[in-house]
Amino acid sequence: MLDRRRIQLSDWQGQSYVLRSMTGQQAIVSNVTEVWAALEKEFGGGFDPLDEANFPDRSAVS
Amino acid sequence: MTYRPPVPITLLTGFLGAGKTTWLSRALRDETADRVAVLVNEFGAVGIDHLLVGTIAPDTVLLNSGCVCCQIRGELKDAILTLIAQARSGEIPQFDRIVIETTGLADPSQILSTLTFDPVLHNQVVLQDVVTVADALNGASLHAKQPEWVAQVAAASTILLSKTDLVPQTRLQDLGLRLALINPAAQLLDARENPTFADIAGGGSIDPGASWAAGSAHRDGTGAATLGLTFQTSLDWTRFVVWLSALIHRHGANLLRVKCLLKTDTGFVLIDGVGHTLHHPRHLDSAIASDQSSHLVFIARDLDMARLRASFEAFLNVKTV
Repeated sequence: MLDRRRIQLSDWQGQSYVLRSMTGQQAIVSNVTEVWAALEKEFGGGFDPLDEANFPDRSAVS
Repeated sequence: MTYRPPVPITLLTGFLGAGKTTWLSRALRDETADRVAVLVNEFGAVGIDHLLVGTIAPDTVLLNSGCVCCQIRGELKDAILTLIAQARSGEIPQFDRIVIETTGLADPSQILSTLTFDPVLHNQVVLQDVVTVADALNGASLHAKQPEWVAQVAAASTILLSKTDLVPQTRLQDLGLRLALINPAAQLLDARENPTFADIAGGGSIDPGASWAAGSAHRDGTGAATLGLTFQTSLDWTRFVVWLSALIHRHGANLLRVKCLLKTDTGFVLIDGVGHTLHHPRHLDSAIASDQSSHLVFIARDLDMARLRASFEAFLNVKTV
Protein backbone atom coordinates (compact mmCIF):
# COMPACT_ATOMS: atom_id res chain seq x y z
CA MET A 1 0.00 0.00 0.00
CA LEU A 2 2.91 2.31 0.66
CA ASP A 3 4.75 1.55 -2.56
CA ARG A 4 3.32 4.50 -4.41
CA ARG A 5 4.56 6.83 -1.69
CA ARG A 6 7.96 5.13 -1.91
CA ILE A 7 7.81 4.42 1.80
CA GLN A 8 8.82 1.11 3.30
CA LEU A 9 7.40 -0.48 6.41
CA SER A 10 9.64 -2.96 8.18
CA ASP A 11 9.55 -4.94 11.38
CA TRP A 12 11.85 -3.73 14.17
CA GLN A 13 12.98 -6.39 16.64
CA GLY A 14 9.57 -7.99 16.54
CA GLN A 15 8.20 -5.27 18.80
CA SER A 16 7.42 -2.34 16.56
CA TYR A 17 7.61 -1.13 12.99
CA VAL A 18 9.77 1.40 11.21
CA LEU A 19 8.51 3.60 8.39
CA ARG A 20 11.30 4.75 6.08
CA SER A 21 11.18 7.09 3.12
CA MET A 22 13.60 7.15 0.20
CA THR A 23 15.25 10.25 1.71
CA GLY A 24 16.07 8.47 4.96
CA GLN A 25 13.26 10.01 6.95
CA GLN A 26 11.89 7.49 9.45
CA ALA A 27 9.33 6.98 12.17
CA ILE A 28 8.82 4.18 14.67
CA VAL A 29 5.29 2.98 15.39
CA SER A 30 4.19 0.33 17.86
CA ASN A 31 1.34 -1.20 15.90
CA VAL A 32 -0.19 -1.24 12.48
CA THR A 33 -2.99 1.17 13.35
CA GLU A 34 -0.42 3.83 14.21
CA VAL A 35 1.16 3.56 10.78
CA TRP A 36 -1.44 5.78 9.16
CA ALA A 37 -1.29 8.50 11.81
CA ALA A 38 2.51 8.48 11.59
CA LEU A 39 2.32 8.71 7.83
CA GLU A 40 0.25 11.88 8.07
CA LYS A 41 2.30 13.40 10.86
CA GLU A 42 5.85 12.55 9.84
CA PHE A 43 5.70 12.28 6.09
CA GLY A 44 2.88 14.67 5.23
CA GLY A 45 -0.26 13.66 3.40
CA GLY A 46 -2.26 10.63 4.34
CA PHE A 47 -3.27 7.44 2.65
CA ASP A 48 -6.81 7.00 1.42
CA PRO A 49 -7.54 3.34 0.58
CA LEU A 50 -10.64 4.46 -1.33
CA ASP A 51 -8.65 6.67 -3.69
CA GLU A 52 -8.29 4.72 -6.92
CA ALA A 53 -4.92 6.35 -7.47
CA ASN A 54 -3.69 4.33 -4.48
CA PHE A 55 -5.08 1.00 -5.68
CA PRO A 56 -2.33 -1.54 -6.37
CA ASP A 57 -1.80 -3.05 -9.79
CA ARG A 58 -3.42 -6.47 -9.77
CA SER A 59 -0.25 -7.92 -11.27
CA ALA A 60 1.78 -6.52 -8.37
CA VAL A 61 -0.38 -8.20 -5.73
CA SER A 62 0.55 -11.77 -4.96
CA MET B 1 -3.87 -13.43 42.94
CA THR B 2 -7.27 -14.83 42.00
CA TYR B 3 -8.28 -14.42 38.38
CA ARG B 4 -11.58 -12.62 38.08
CA PRO B 5 -13.25 -12.85 34.70
CA PRO B 6 -14.29 -9.52 33.22
CA VAL B 7 -17.86 -8.44 34.02
CA PRO B 8 -20.12 -8.52 30.95
CA ILE B 9 -21.66 -5.20 30.02
CA THR B 10 -24.89 -4.61 28.16
CA LEU B 11 -25.10 -1.17 26.59
CA LEU B 12 -28.71 -0.02 26.31
CA THR B 13 -29.33 2.75 23.87
CA GLY B 14 -32.19 4.22 21.84
CA PHE B 15 -33.55 7.62 20.97
CA LEU B 16 -35.33 9.90 23.41
CA GLY B 17 -38.60 8.34 24.55
CA ALA B 18 -38.09 5.09 22.67
CA GLY B 19 -38.77 2.94 25.72
CA LYS B 20 -35.32 2.02 27.07
CA THR B 21 -36.30 2.25 30.72
CA THR B 22 -39.57 0.40 30.13
CA TRP B 23 -37.77 -2.58 28.63
CA LEU B 24 -35.00 -2.52 31.22
CA SER B 25 -37.49 -2.48 34.09
CA ARG B 26 -39.26 -5.54 32.66
CA ALA B 27 -36.05 -7.41 31.91
CA LEU B 28 -34.76 -6.82 35.45
CA ARG B 29 -37.98 -8.25 36.88
CA ASP B 30 -37.65 -11.45 34.91
CA GLU B 31 -36.79 -14.30 37.21
CA THR B 32 -34.12 -15.60 34.86
CA ALA B 33 -32.26 -12.28 34.93
CA ASP B 34 -28.72 -12.30 36.28
CA ARG B 35 -27.83 -10.18 39.23
CA VAL B 36 -27.56 -6.84 37.47
CA ALA B 37 -26.03 -3.50 38.39
CA VAL B 38 -27.43 -0.57 36.43
CA LEU B 39 -25.78 2.68 35.42
CA VAL B 40 -28.25 5.26 34.19
CA ASN B 41 -27.18 8.35 32.32
CA GLU B 42 -29.73 11.07 31.78
CA PHE B 43 -29.43 14.29 29.89
CA GLY B 44 -31.02 16.95 32.01
CA ALA B 45 -30.66 18.46 35.43
CA VAL B 46 -33.16 16.16 37.12
CA GLY B 47 -32.83 12.45 36.65
CA ILE B 48 -36.02 10.41 36.61
CA ASP B 49 -35.20 7.10 35.00
CA HIS B 50 -33.03 5.93 37.90
CA LEU B 51 -36.03 6.27 40.21
CA LEU B 52 -38.03 3.96 37.96
CA VAL B 53 -35.26 1.40 37.62
CA GLY B 54 -33.90 1.85 41.14
CA THR B 55 -36.95 0.26 42.73
CA ILE B 56 -36.03 -3.00 40.99
CA ALA B 57 -32.24 -2.84 40.95
CA PRO B 58 -31.02 -1.24 44.18
CA ASP B 59 -27.51 -0.80 42.82
CA THR B 60 -28.68 1.71 40.26
CA VAL B 61 -26.26 4.59 39.95
CA LEU B 62 -27.29 7.86 38.34
CA LEU B 63 -24.49 9.50 36.45
CA ASN B 64 -24.53 13.26 36.75
CA SER B 65 -26.21 15.41 34.17
CA GLY B 66 -24.45 15.31 30.87
CA CYS B 67 -24.16 12.93 28.01
CA VAL B 68 -22.19 9.80 28.75
CA CYS B 69 -20.69 9.68 25.29
CA CYS B 70 -19.15 13.12 25.22
CA GLN B 71 -19.22 14.96 28.54
CA ILE B 72 -18.78 12.45 31.31
CA ARG B 73 -16.83 9.52 29.93
CA GLY B 74 -14.44 9.74 32.89
CA GLU B 75 -17.38 9.52 35.22
CA LEU B 76 -18.64 6.41 33.47
CA LYS B 77 -15.26 4.76 33.99
CA ASP B 78 -15.17 5.78 37.66
CA ALA B 79 -18.74 4.54 38.21
CA ILE B 80 -17.94 1.13 36.73
CA LEU B 81 -14.75 0.71 38.73
CA THR B 82 -16.50 1.86 41.92
CA LEU B 83 -19.31 -0.65 41.41
CA ILE B 84 -16.84 -3.50 40.91
CA ALA B 85 -14.76 -2.45 43.93
CA GLN B 86 -17.84 -2.14 46.16
CA ALA B 87 -19.10 -5.57 45.12
CA ARG B 88 -15.73 -7.15 45.86
CA SER B 89 -15.51 -5.51 49.27
CA GLY B 90 -19.05 -6.57 50.14
CA GLU B 91 -20.45 -3.03 50.36
CA ILE B 92 -23.06 -3.91 47.75
CA PRO B 93 -24.34 -7.32 46.61
CA GLN B 94 -22.38 -9.24 43.98
CA PHE B 95 -23.57 -8.86 40.40
CA ASP B 96 -23.09 -10.83 37.19
CA ARG B 97 -23.71 -8.08 34.67
CA ILE B 98 -23.67 -4.30 34.32
CA VAL B 99 -26.27 -2.52 32.21
CA ILE B 100 -25.46 1.00 31.06
CA GLU B 101 -28.53 2.93 29.98
CA THR B 102 -27.41 5.87 27.89
CA THR B 103 -29.18 9.10 27.12
CA GLY B 104 -31.28 9.15 23.99
CA LEU B 105 -28.75 11.47 22.41
CA ALA B 106 -25.68 9.34 23.01
CA ASP B 107 -23.49 8.15 20.17
CA PRO B 108 -22.64 4.59 21.24
CA SER B 109 -19.34 4.48 19.38
CA GLN B 110 -17.75 6.85 21.89
CA ILE B 111 -18.89 4.74 24.83
CA LEU B 112 -17.74 1.55 23.13
CA SER B 113 -14.36 3.13 22.62
CA THR B 114 -14.09 3.91 26.35
CA LEU B 115 -15.15 0.40 27.34
CA THR B 116 -12.83 -1.30 24.88
CA PHE B 117 -9.67 0.75 25.01
CA ASP B 118 -9.44 2.24 28.48
CA PRO B 119 -6.38 0.46 29.92
CA VAL B 120 -8.03 -0.11 33.30
CA LEU B 121 -11.57 -0.93 32.18
CA HIS B 122 -10.28 -3.23 29.47
CA ASN B 123 -9.32 -5.88 32.03
CA GLN B 124 -12.35 -5.43 34.26
CA VAL B 125 -15.28 -5.50 31.86
CA VAL B 126 -16.21 -6.93 28.50
CA LEU B 127 -18.88 -5.53 26.22
CA GLN B 128 -21.35 -8.32 25.54
CA ASP B 129 -24.42 -6.76 23.91
CA VAL B 130 -25.53 -3.47 22.46
CA VAL B 131 -29.31 -3.23 22.70
CA THR B 132 -30.98 -0.43 20.78
CA VAL B 133 -34.64 0.31 21.42
CA ALA B 134 -36.26 1.67 18.26
CA ASP B 135 -39.60 3.42 18.48
CA ALA B 136 -41.92 1.96 15.82
CA LEU B 137 -44.20 4.97 16.01
CA ASN B 138 -41.57 7.65 15.46
CA GLY B 139 -38.55 5.66 14.34
CA ALA B 140 -38.71 5.91 10.59
CA SER B 141 -40.18 9.39 10.43
CA LEU B 142 -38.85 11.61 13.20
CA HIS B 143 -35.87 9.80 14.67
CA ALA B 144 -34.40 8.66 11.38
CA LYS B 145 -33.49 12.27 10.62
CA GLN B 146 -31.18 12.32 13.63
CA PRO B 147 -27.62 11.07 13.08
CA GLU B 148 -27.56 9.70 16.65
CA TRP B 149 -30.51 7.42 15.83
CA VAL B 150 -28.72 5.97 12.82
CA ALA B 151 -25.53 5.51 14.86
CA GLN B 152 -27.50 3.75 17.60
CA VAL B 153 -29.21 1.40 15.16
CA ALA B 154 -25.93 0.70 13.37
CA ALA B 155 -24.12 -0.19 16.62
CA ALA B 156 -26.79 -2.62 17.83
CA SER B 157 -26.35 -6.33 18.27
CA THR B 158 -30.08 -6.46 19.07
CA ILE B 159 -32.78 -4.00 18.04
CA LEU B 160 -35.88 -3.96 20.21
CA LEU B 161 -38.87 -2.56 18.36
CA SER B 162 -41.10 -0.70 20.82
CA LYS B 163 -44.65 0.66 20.50
CA THR B 164 -45.39 -1.87 17.78
CA ASP B 165 -49.04 -1.97 18.89
CA LEU B 166 -49.45 1.67 17.85
CA VAL B 167 -48.67 1.24 14.16
CA PRO B 168 -50.25 -0.84 11.38
CA GLN B 169 -48.56 -4.05 10.25
CA THR B 170 -47.53 -2.64 6.87
CA ARG B 171 -45.69 0.24 8.52
CA LEU B 172 -43.97 -2.22 10.83
CA GLN B 173 -42.75 -4.20 7.86
CA ASP B 174 -41.40 -1.02 6.25
CA LEU B 175 -39.58 -0.08 9.43
CA GLY B 176 -38.17 -3.58 9.80
CA LEU B 177 -36.83 -3.38 6.26
CA ARG B 178 -35.36 0.02 6.89
CA LEU B 179 -33.65 -1.12 10.09
CA ALA B 180 -32.28 -4.13 8.24
CA LEU B 181 -30.85 -1.84 5.58
CA ILE B 182 -29.00 0.18 8.22
CA ASN B 183 -27.91 -2.83 10.25
CA PRO B 184 -28.52 -6.22 8.65
CA ALA B 185 -26.36 -7.97 11.26
CA ALA B 186 -28.62 -7.14 14.23
CA GLN B 187 -31.37 -9.41 15.48
CA LEU B 188 -34.77 -7.72 15.57
CA LEU B 189 -37.09 -8.41 18.51
CA ASP B 190 -40.51 -7.05 19.42
CA ALA B 191 -40.34 -5.30 22.80
CA ARG B 192 -43.98 -6.27 23.44
CA GLU B 193 -42.87 -9.87 23.83
CA ASN B 194 -40.76 -8.80 26.80
CA PRO B 195 -37.42 -10.22 25.65
CA THR B 196 -35.12 -11.15 28.53
CA PHE B 197 -31.36 -10.77 28.86
CA ALA B 198 -31.10 -14.36 27.62
CA ASP B 199 -33.08 -13.41 24.50
CA ILE B 200 -30.75 -10.56 23.60
CA ALA B 201 -27.60 -12.63 24.14
CA GLY B 202 -25.80 -13.56 20.97
CA GLY B 203 -27.65 -11.02 18.86
CA GLY B 204 -25.92 -9.61 15.83
CA SER B 205 -24.35 -12.79 14.53
CA ILE B 206 -23.82 -12.88 10.81
CA ASP B 207 -26.31 -15.08 9.05
CA PRO B 208 -24.71 -16.45 5.88
CA GLY B 209 -28.10 -17.08 4.40
CA ALA B 210 -29.27 -13.51 4.69
CA SER B 211 -30.04 -11.85 1.41
CA TRP B 212 -27.88 -8.80 2.14
CA ALA B 213 -24.75 -10.92 2.23
CA ALA B 214 -24.49 -11.42 -1.49
CA GLY B 215 -22.74 -8.36 -2.83
CA SER B 216 -25.58 -6.07 -1.96
CA ALA B 217 -25.42 -2.34 -1.33
CA HIS B 218 -28.39 -0.46 0.06
CA ARG B 219 -29.21 3.10 0.86
CA ASP B 220 -32.03 3.72 3.29
CA GLY B 221 -32.83 7.41 2.88
CA THR B 222 -31.17 8.52 6.12
CA GLY B 223 -27.79 8.82 4.43
CA ALA B 224 -26.71 5.46 5.80
CA ALA B 225 -25.73 2.80 3.30
CA THR B 226 -24.93 -0.86 3.75
CA LEU B 227 -22.54 -3.02 1.78
CA GLY B 228 -22.44 -6.80 2.13
CA LEU B 229 -19.61 -8.82 0.60
CA THR B 230 -19.19 -12.58 0.34
CA PHE B 231 -16.37 -14.67 -1.05
CA GLN B 232 -15.09 -18.21 -0.80
CA THR B 233 -11.30 -17.98 -0.81
CA SER B 234 -9.21 -17.68 2.34
CA LEU B 235 -8.23 -14.13 3.18
CA ASP B 236 -4.70 -12.86 3.79
CA TRP B 237 -5.17 -11.81 7.41
CA THR B 238 -2.23 -9.39 7.63
CA ARG B 239 -3.17 -7.64 4.41
CA PHE B 240 -6.77 -7.33 5.58
CA VAL B 241 -5.78 -5.79 8.92
CA VAL B 242 -3.53 -3.26 7.20
CA TRP B 243 -6.28 -2.35 4.72
CA LEU B 244 -8.96 -2.12 7.41
CA SER B 245 -6.77 -0.02 9.68
CA ALA B 246 -6.16 2.41 6.80
CA LEU B 247 -9.90 2.53 6.08
CA ILE B 248 -10.83 3.17 9.70
CA HIS B 249 -8.12 5.76 10.16
CA ARG B 250 -9.26 7.71 7.12
CA HIS B 251 -13.00 7.11 7.12
CA GLY B 252 -13.81 6.01 10.69
CA ALA B 253 -16.08 9.01 11.22
CA ASN B 254 -18.29 7.83 8.36
CA LEU B 255 -18.06 4.13 9.11
CA LEU B 256 -20.90 3.40 11.47
CA ARG B 257 -20.31 -0.32 11.68
CA VAL B 258 -17.98 -3.03 10.41
CA LYS B 259 -18.80 -6.66 10.98
CA CYS B 260 -16.83 -9.43 9.34
CA LEU B 261 -16.78 -13.20 9.53
CA LEU B 262 -13.48 -14.00 7.85
CA LYS B 263 -12.17 -17.27 6.57
CA THR B 264 -8.40 -17.28 7.11
CA ASP B 265 -5.74 -19.96 6.85
CA THR B 266 -6.00 -20.51 10.62
CA GLY B 267 -9.80 -20.67 10.80
CA PHE B 268 -12.69 -18.25 11.07
CA VAL B 269 -12.21 -14.88 12.74
CA LEU B 270 -14.95 -12.47 13.80
CA ILE B 271 -14.26 -8.74 13.56
CA ASP B 272 -16.64 -6.20 15.01
CA GLY B 273 -16.16 -2.46 14.92
CA VAL B 274 -18.15 0.70 15.53
CA GLY B 275 -16.78 4.00 14.27
CA HIS B 276 -13.08 4.25 15.06
CA THR B 277 -13.37 1.42 17.58
CA LEU B 278 -12.43 -2.07 16.52
CA HIS B 279 -13.00 -4.83 19.04
CA HIS B 280 -10.36 -7.48 19.48
CA PRO B 281 -10.75 -10.16 16.79
CA ARG B 282 -12.28 -13.40 18.01
CA HIS B 283 -11.25 -16.78 16.67
CA LEU B 284 -14.37 -18.86 16.29
CA ASP B 285 -14.85 -22.49 17.10
CA SER B 286 -14.59 -24.45 13.88
CA ALA B 287 -17.83 -26.16 14.85
CA ILE B 288 -19.74 -22.91 14.40
CA ALA B 289 -22.36 -23.05 11.71
CA SER B 290 -21.00 -21.54 8.56
CA ASP B 291 -21.26 -21.89 4.82
CA GLN B 292 -17.43 -21.81 4.68
CA SER B 293 -17.46 -18.35 3.12
CA SER B 294 -16.26 -14.98 4.36
CA HIS B 295 -18.96 -12.40 4.98
CA LEU B 296 -18.38 -8.69 5.48
CA VAL B 297 -20.88 -5.98 6.32
CA PHE B 298 -20.06 -2.29 6.20
CA ILE B 299 -22.56 0.33 7.35
CA ALA B 300 -21.53 3.85 6.53
CA ARG B 301 -22.77 7.34 5.97
CA ASP B 302 -21.60 9.53 3.09
CA LEU B 303 -19.22 6.89 1.81
CA ASP B 304 -19.08 5.59 -1.75
CA MET B 305 -19.91 1.89 -1.28
CA ALA B 306 -18.98 0.95 -4.84
CA ARG B 307 -15.55 2.46 -4.25
CA LEU B 308 -15.30 0.62 -0.93
CA ARG B 309 -15.99 -2.66 -2.64
CA ALA B 310 -13.51 -1.89 -5.43
CA SER B 311 -10.86 -0.97 -2.84
CA PHE B 312 -11.42 -4.20 -0.92
CA GLU B 313 -11.12 -6.28 -4.08
CA ALA B 314 -8.06 -4.39 -5.29
CA PHE B 315 -6.06 -4.51 -2.07
CA LEU B 316 -7.13 -7.99 -0.95
CA ASN B 317 -7.00 -9.43 -4.43
CA VAL B 318 -10.30 -11.26 -4.09
CA LYS B 319 -13.42 -11.26 -6.18
CA THR B 320 -16.59 -10.82 -4.15
CA VAL B 321 -20.09 -11.90 -5.12
